Amino acid sequence: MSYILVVDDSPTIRTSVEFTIKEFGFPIKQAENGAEALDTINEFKGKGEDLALVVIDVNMPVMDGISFLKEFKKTDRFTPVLILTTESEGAKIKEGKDAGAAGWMIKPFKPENLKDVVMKLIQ
Amino acid sequence: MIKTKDMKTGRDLFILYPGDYYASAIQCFIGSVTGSCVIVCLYDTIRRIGGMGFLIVPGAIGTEGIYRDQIAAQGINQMELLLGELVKLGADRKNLTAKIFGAATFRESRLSREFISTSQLRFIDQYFKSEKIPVYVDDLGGDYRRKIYFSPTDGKVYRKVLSNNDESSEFIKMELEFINRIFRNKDTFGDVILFE
Amino acid sequence: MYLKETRRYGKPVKIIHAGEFYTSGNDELIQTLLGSCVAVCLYDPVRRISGMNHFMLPGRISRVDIFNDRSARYGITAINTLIEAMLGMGSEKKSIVAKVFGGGSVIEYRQRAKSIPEDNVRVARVMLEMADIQMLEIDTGGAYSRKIVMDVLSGEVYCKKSASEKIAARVFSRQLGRDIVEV
Repeated sequence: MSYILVVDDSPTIRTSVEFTIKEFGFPIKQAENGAEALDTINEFKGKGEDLALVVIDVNMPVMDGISFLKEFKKTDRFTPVLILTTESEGAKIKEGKDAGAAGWMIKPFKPENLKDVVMKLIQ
Repeated sequence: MIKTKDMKTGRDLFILYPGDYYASAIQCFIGSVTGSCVIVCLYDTIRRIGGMGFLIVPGAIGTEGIYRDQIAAQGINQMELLLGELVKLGADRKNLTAKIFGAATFRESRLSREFISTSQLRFIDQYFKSEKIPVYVDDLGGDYRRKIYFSPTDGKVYRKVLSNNDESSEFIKMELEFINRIFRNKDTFGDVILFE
Repeated sequence: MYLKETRRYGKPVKIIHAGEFYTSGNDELIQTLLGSCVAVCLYDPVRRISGMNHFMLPGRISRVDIFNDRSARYGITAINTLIEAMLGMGSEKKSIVAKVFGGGSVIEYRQRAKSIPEDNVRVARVMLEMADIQMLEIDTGGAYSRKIVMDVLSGEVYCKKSASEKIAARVFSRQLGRDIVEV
């Protein structure tokens, strides 16, 4: 079964997201930043595990969410990436869209909204 | 928030209003006065970057704890905004330490102060454990307001207890406005935009 | 600074306008006329020195404004300048006390201008509280213009409020002409 990757430098946010979407039954993996996310994806690709969705923050140390997106889209154009961030600036959102994000969700997130969006994106 | 000058040192002084947050990697002071709200000072001990946030959790957190709670989500978000500023300046969560002030229980409110104070304490306890950010100082509770000066490049905090004239304090007035506003809008969540 | 002198009250009177301040240790009076502007009056009872400024901030201060908005800085600087002038004359900060006046509004004015008189008062109060300067008297807000006369040696401040539409309109329109900057 394919998995969902949750990327945020805040353990609290990662756990909140996991609690919200775990009822869909997908295995959930976590990473702390963009670089760690890329490593995780490669590691599981090697084991033959498919990626269903990435939920990722923008402001993170080492590698931010937008840089991750640009890097990730070079090798995988189809797996949806959902941005989940406190950033609400128009220019930033456009940057995300142009880099190939599937959606942009502004924190704090309403659990029902996150469930709806995740449902739409993994179908 | 206003930007002024510290008279003693001549350094820039950023005075936060309730709900504000500010981070800096340059020598300055960040200051404010809190009553029932919470002032969080975060400091990256390696990179020498610090920030202050002035926040409140608008209500009691459910028994399931902060991860699934919509009230806690508001507090988490206020912390995220401050952490976001720090990260943008190059700070790393792993190096952060916290000093926390406020959550006083005192007079002059239409809301139950006892209740507000207790829910702040619970949130702080769970949140900082979850984030694994060590709390070096938690100076919470009491029935007085606290004036806090934070030096973000060395993490030092100067605190003064102010126990008289609560009713004439402009900070307390602003805090009540902030509490009323955020308690009224505690179900506010961010927008969702789907592309394509 | 333009200072007008009269001897209307049996002592020399120094009159200040928006953007100005004055400190003194002489037996004289300091006067100003306020609409939506704010005057901070400082008094050091130990040295018997008084100071007054007259300032306004056009508009609410947001996170974005504070670094770029010259006029916002100007109001904040006005308070710092006054405190520094008092210290420069030999006052110690711990002996200084303050009185704050102004920040009035009239309905017509409210509709025309973006400025928020309450914010002027708020900035003054927040800064004084952070500087540990005790506020003995605060008379702000309401649909008034105010005439403030401060006696330098005693620190007493006489505040005459006027709700007269005519006077208010004159004061407010003059201040609009002088101070309002679109931001």
